[in-house]
Amino acid sequence: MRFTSLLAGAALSATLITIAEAETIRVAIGTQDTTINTATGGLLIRELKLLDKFLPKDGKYKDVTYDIQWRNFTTGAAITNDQIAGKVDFGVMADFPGSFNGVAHEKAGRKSIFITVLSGSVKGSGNGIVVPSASPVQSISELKGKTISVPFASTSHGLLLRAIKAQGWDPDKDVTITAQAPEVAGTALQSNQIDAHADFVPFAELFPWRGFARKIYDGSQANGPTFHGALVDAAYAEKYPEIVVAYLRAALEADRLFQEEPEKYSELIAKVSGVDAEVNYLFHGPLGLQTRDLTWKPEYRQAVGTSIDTLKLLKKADQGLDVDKFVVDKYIREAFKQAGLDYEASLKNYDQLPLKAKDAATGEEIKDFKRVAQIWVKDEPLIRHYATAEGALKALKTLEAEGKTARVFYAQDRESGIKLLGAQAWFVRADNGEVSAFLLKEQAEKWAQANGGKVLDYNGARAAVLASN
Amino acid sequence: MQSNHDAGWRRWILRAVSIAVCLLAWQTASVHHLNLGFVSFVNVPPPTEVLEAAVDLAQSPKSLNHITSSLRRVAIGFTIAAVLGVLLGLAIGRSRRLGDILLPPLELLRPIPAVAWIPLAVLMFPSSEGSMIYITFIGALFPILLSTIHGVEHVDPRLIASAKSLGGTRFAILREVTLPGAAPAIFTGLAIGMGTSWFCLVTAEMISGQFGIGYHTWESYVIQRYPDIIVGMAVIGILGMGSSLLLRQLGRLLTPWHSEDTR
Repeated sequence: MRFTSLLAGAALSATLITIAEAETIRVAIGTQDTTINTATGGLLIRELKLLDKFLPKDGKYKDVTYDIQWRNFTTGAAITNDQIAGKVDFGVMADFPGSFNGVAHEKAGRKSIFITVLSGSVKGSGNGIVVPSASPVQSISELKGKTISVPFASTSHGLLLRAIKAQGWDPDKDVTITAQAPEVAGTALQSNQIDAHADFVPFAELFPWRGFARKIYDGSQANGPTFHGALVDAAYAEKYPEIVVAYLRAALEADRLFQEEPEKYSELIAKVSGVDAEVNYLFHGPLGLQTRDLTWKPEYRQAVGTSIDTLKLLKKADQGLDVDKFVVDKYIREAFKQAGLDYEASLKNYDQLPLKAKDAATGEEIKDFKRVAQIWVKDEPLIRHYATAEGALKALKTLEAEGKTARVFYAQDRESGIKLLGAQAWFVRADNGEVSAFLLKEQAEKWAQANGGKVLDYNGARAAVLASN
Repeated sequence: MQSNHDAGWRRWILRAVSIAVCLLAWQTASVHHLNLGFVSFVNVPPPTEVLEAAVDLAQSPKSLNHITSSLRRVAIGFTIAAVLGVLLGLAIGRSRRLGDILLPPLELLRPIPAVAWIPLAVLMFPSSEGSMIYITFIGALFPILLSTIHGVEHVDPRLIASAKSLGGTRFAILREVTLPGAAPAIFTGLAIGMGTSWFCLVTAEMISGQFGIGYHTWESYVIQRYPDIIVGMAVIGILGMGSSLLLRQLGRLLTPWHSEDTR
């Protein structure tokens, strides 16, 4: 077996050498356009043609022509399949499918390496659990005995198991977990075939945004890291390290561009992927649900390890994977260096994507981000930022009186700091008029009990702010 | 009779040898990572690995659940398709007007692949079990329908004319002439429909899964367990072939007047 693997490896290198002699090098990248948090490693590089900018053109690459191939997939598993078949060199996917990618390569007598994180959350935001809009369920504790669907062996499957464990439940007895792809689950939620659905980026936000589901659990509640990143065939990376670094520099450039103009690129992602710009901004924008973090924080390394362990528990993987060898940070470190960025500083930075803005109503610099709210007015290129939710709600009233329409109202969760879709959030209005936002009703109730104030839904909060004027 | 029996055995041996040769060729191609350029066995697991996976599955407590879930789905979907397909087929085959009314919409639905039905199947049925059964139903319906129509249309008109002249009522003619005349074609349709129903099983069980051999196959793809995928494919193949054979036998028993196919 080992011998035949060696043979396969030799055959592979042989084909790669022939490619080099012909001076055409394939750069085949498998993307997941709808998984919008991978945009800086796929969709944006492709749409903005960033690869051309960074691919090496001197030294041993002097006379090389590049055969850049972009392939879009809907799951990490499908990308892995093509990588195993030798049709794709780079692939973007989450921790769970990424681990499978490593195992599958080893089984095939090859090796893949995880070269970067693209976007993630050390706490677990991005994954979430939703229920049909009309469901009375407000929190995960009410899901005992119910049917919950989840994309099998995805990063959200890991979250679901973790969340169930945190409730002290037995995943085999206390709930019925069925496997379901996101696109099917969207329909199943609308026809009430399932009681709840756990999913990854962007579906736990996209379904609520589309109006047929309500998020009742954010991944951060389970406090388990999740991320999407990029993998490459190890033999390819060894042969063409400069190309791997070039790809990562393109990703860094996409990241920088996004940071400069989040609204513009949220729209671009929407145009290409069909996932609404409002949802893209929710993830990628300042104070967003995830951080576009390209460093290998220990939490992300741990996420890779956890996914392997979880799958062993599910008896779906019999083989371990050496995380330290699977995760390789030398390429991303080199890309940071070439781009003049400080890898170590980024590695230590756990902040949300920063918001540097002035309050659209008062004109003052926003310094405290606990109660920030934002309004994206229709036909306006830029989002309006407000230091407080009540300030934003008041502004919303004025805007609407002027005949303007808000595309979306965002608020930040008072406790966890995650960005929320205002229309589905819960609010507590204190007696002094201060408004705080929460993902969960029970959270809002607790806050009101401890700090005083009244629990309101979005319309209630809007009416209350109007009434106080 | 004796020589006939021997010939039968010889044919079975030949069939078994044919399968063994296929397996051997597959094993050789996989183990030696055969690459013909346009088709490659480099990453195809050999039968020995598949056998290991099959043993694992057989020993898993879930395996019975996988198989019974799938059998139930196909059985229900197929039964509904059989009843509806035969009834519609008889009606369309017997009456030109009913044919004009019923056939056009059915012909429109016929080319739609099962996988395209998934979203609607999920929307239309209150349970995912219902959606899955619908997919196996839609897979089985059209071969049964078309074969029944074909069978009914090809009943010798002279037989019907004779029955009429002997004073047979419409119902009696249907029961005594048309149905027996069309029965061989109907059973062929049922056997094909059984096959196509299994054909659609993976599609059906992609909808939502916990148990089911199609689901097991799909799940194995998600986690790149290639030997398990082939086990799933093989189980579907065997169950599908088995149930089609059963139907053919049943057909032979029920249509003794139909000359035995001696091929």
